[in-house]
Formats: sequence, structure tokens, C-alpha cells
Amino acid sequence: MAEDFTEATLVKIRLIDRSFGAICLAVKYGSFVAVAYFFGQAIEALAGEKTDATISLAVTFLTKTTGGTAAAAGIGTGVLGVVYGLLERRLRYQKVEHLQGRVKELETFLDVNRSSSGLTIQGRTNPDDV
Amino acid sequence: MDLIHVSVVLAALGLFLAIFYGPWQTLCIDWARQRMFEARDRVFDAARRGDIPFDSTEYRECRLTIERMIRFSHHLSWPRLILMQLVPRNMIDRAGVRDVLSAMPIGRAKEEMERAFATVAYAIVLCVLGRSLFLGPIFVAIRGLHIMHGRLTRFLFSVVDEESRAIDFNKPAFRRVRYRHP
Repeated sequence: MAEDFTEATLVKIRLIDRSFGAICLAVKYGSFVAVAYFFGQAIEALAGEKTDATISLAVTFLTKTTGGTAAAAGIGTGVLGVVYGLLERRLRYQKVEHLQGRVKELETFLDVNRSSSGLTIQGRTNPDDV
Repeated sequence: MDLIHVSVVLAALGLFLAIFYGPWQTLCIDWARQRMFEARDRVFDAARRGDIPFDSTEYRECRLTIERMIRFSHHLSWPRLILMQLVPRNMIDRAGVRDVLSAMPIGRAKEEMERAFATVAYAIVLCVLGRSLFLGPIFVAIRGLHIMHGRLTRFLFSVVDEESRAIDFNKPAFRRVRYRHP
């Protein structure tokens, strides 16, 4: 019964909701900015000495030292895992798109007034709802 | 070397954040939606079996409610859930589907619908936990405990089952106990 809301209550609810949203966005993008900033600082400090020397130092660290190799292997495996996951997800979306028409047709046969979830045919969020 | 260490750690942290705020968010939402689609199918199957008519108000209301949850699950977050709880009950039409469910006669259809809504609630809560950087670890712990609990229960049951098979109930000790406490 949305008409029971007073104007002041609606404004308050919206304000609180937007404030929480802003905080979440700040945490999300702030953490990216902070990481990028400190990463840039570290690279700048390294490059300040001599770029070629920095690159060779980084390559030596990642390939010759135990810790560096482990870190490179870890990050590399993580990236591979993400790529694998993204490919699997794409396959799942294709599968959903392939099967949904048949399911819809069969269900409509039994339920003439069948309603839909409003997602895309791949099962993704409707662009109108973003 | 220290600066290189810091750079590697920061690169790994950046990668983690990119995964967490990118594909992980979609994964949580898709997981919850899959659970909710299964719940909707359960309600559909109840109607297909003839437990409830397809054109009944109860069926339509339940289906539409689940579909709304599926559609807007990407908007749900823990601050919003808390906010919804703080809003006075008489101010929103929150009890719509609850009223419909409580008015239904006791039977298989009601049971199926209640189970479906329990699944929906479970999916939403876990999705909200999983999408939060702060509550994410709690989500992982709950899922871990859930899986462990299932495995532990199955393991204990198998042990007890094997032990009970090994017991010879015709031994005198058992006969005596049974005689004393028929």
C-alpha cells in the first residue's frame, strides 16, 4: 500500500537507501582507486631508478626467485581460472537460450496465462531493470 | 626487492577486487536465480499434478512473487534488506503472499508453496551475503559448515548403520535387556 506512505517517510527511505548505495559504491571504487594509486607509486619508485633495470629486476624477481615464481604462478593460475569460469558462463548462457523456448512452449501448453520472470532469453538481468 | 613485493601484492589485490566486483557478483545472482527458478518449477509441478488450479489466485500470486524476486534480485543488498525490515509493517504491502499462503487449506499444494518460498528466502539471504565484501567470509563459512554438516551426518549415519548391522541382537545381554524393559 504505497499510498499509505507519507511524503516525508518516502524521502527518508530514499535518502537512507541512496546513502547506503553511495557508501557501497565508495567502498567498491575507492578500493580500486587505492590499489591503483599505491601500485602506481610502487612502479614509479621502481621506474625512477631506471626503466630497463626495473623491468629486468621484475623479470628476475618473477622468474628466478622462489617467492616471485610462486606469486607469478599463483596469479597466472588465478587468471586462467577466471578465463575458464567466464567461458563456462558463456556456455551456460547459450544453453539457457537454447532450452528456454521449448520449456516456455510446453509450459504455455498447460498454463495459458503463463507469466515470465522478465529476464533476457539467456537468463541475464533485463537491461531495463539495471 | 621490497617495492617489487609490494607491486605483486597490489596486483594480486587488484585482481581479487576485479573478480569479486565483476564475475563473482554475477555468479551469486545467477546462483540465487537458479534456486528461485527451481522453486517456481516446484510450484508449477504442483499445479501440473492437479494439487492447485493454474488459474487460482494463490498460484498466480505465488508465481508472480517468485518472478519478481528473480527479476529484481540484483537490486538486493544487505543494507536494503535491513532497511526493509526497519520500515513499519503497515507501510508496505509485504504480507501479500503470506496472507495468500496462510489462507490456503492444509495440503500438498500449501506445503509445496511454503517450501518454494523457504528456498527463495534461503537463496536471497545467501546471495546477499555472498555479494558483500564484509559478509562474504560469513557466507563462505556457512556454506562450508553446511557441506561439512551434510558429509558428517552421512559419515556418522554410515558408521552407525554398519555398527548396528554388526550387532547380534540374539546375544543374551540384549535378550536380558529386552526382557526387563519390554
